[in-house]
Amino acid sequence: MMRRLGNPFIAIILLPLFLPVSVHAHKVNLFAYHEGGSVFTESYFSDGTPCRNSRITARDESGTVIARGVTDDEGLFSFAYEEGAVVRISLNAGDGHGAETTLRRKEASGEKLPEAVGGENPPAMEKSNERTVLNIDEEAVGRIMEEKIAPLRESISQVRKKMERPRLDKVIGGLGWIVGLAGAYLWGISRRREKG
Amino acid sequence: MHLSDGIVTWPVLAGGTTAAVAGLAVGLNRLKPERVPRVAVLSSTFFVASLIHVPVGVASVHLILNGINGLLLGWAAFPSIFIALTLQMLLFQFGGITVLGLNTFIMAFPGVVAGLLFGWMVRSRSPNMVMIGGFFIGSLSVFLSGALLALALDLSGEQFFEAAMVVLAAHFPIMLLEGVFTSVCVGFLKKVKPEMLDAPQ
Repeated sequence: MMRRLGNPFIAIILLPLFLPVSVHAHKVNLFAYHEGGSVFTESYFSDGTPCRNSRITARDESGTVIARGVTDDEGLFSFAYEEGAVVRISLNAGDGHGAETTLRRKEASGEKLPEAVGGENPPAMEKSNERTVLNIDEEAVGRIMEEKIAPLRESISQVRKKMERPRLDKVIGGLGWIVGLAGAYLWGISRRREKG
Repeated sequence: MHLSDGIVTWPVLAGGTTAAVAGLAVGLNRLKPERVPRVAVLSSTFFVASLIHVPVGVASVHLILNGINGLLLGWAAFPSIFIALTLQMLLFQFGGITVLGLNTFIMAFPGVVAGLLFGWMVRSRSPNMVMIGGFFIGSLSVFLSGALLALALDLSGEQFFEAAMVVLAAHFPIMLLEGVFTSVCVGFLKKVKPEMLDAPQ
């Protein structure tokens, strides 16, 4: 009966072709973004499960630590920070897994944006050097933007998670390399034998 | 199980990489050409095994197969596992380039040791010895890998007991799973092609 099961090694190698390939915890992914004066981070393993209770350290450009903390049950950790344009974040999950990412914030661009004013005054139009400047409630704009952007950000997060799962084509590629290397090695040896 | 870049300190990295290079040298030196197809098959199996996860309770585990690599290849388990880890790093970003040597040593050395220690059981005539030997090889190699990993973390500054507990606890179900799997594999080979189980060198 055992004979009919076939060579166990070949069975294992071919298994990914028949099973949905999924992976747990070979790699941890770290994603960070600026928003509203804070830096938000998300950490998750390569199969999508959140990386809980893991240490996050954030440094500025010069290497000074600006924040330290631990991810929550959903793999999230955030801290208030606005000063620098560059934030280097590293994650240590404590069991050998880690990740790093660098967040760069673009400097606010110049004149063409509407100028923001406090919310009490109703929007008013002014003319200034033939350009029209709108006074707009920055807070309201911020809220509306956040509402619109949140689903996009969620989407991007999903796409990143999908992209980082091992894919079948890469598995096949890897196997091809192993076969190729073995073949090349043997060919090299046979050449040497012919000469010697 | 794969250490990532930037976790372990330089001295540990240097030591682990040197040990891996030594193991690779021994393995390649003793490698007979007739063995190369077998090395390729086992390397492929190791490469793929990390991708197949088995749900265990709320978490999941995967086979490592360093034991069977060590049993069937001896020191050639080093090149076998090294190639598989390199491909995993390049294709899936498991582990990292700086820790490649250390990861190789952590996975390959226990396999070689387990094969050397218990290979005789697998070569005996008694089917029970074969089965038990297979189990020991599978579980010991996983255990030693876990221990080496915990040691690497400890030497790099993590609290030893904390890291060791986490790592070994995580490895325990894998030890059992791998022990059983290796045992089954070995039993199968014994019936179908016992020469494969002969001492590698």
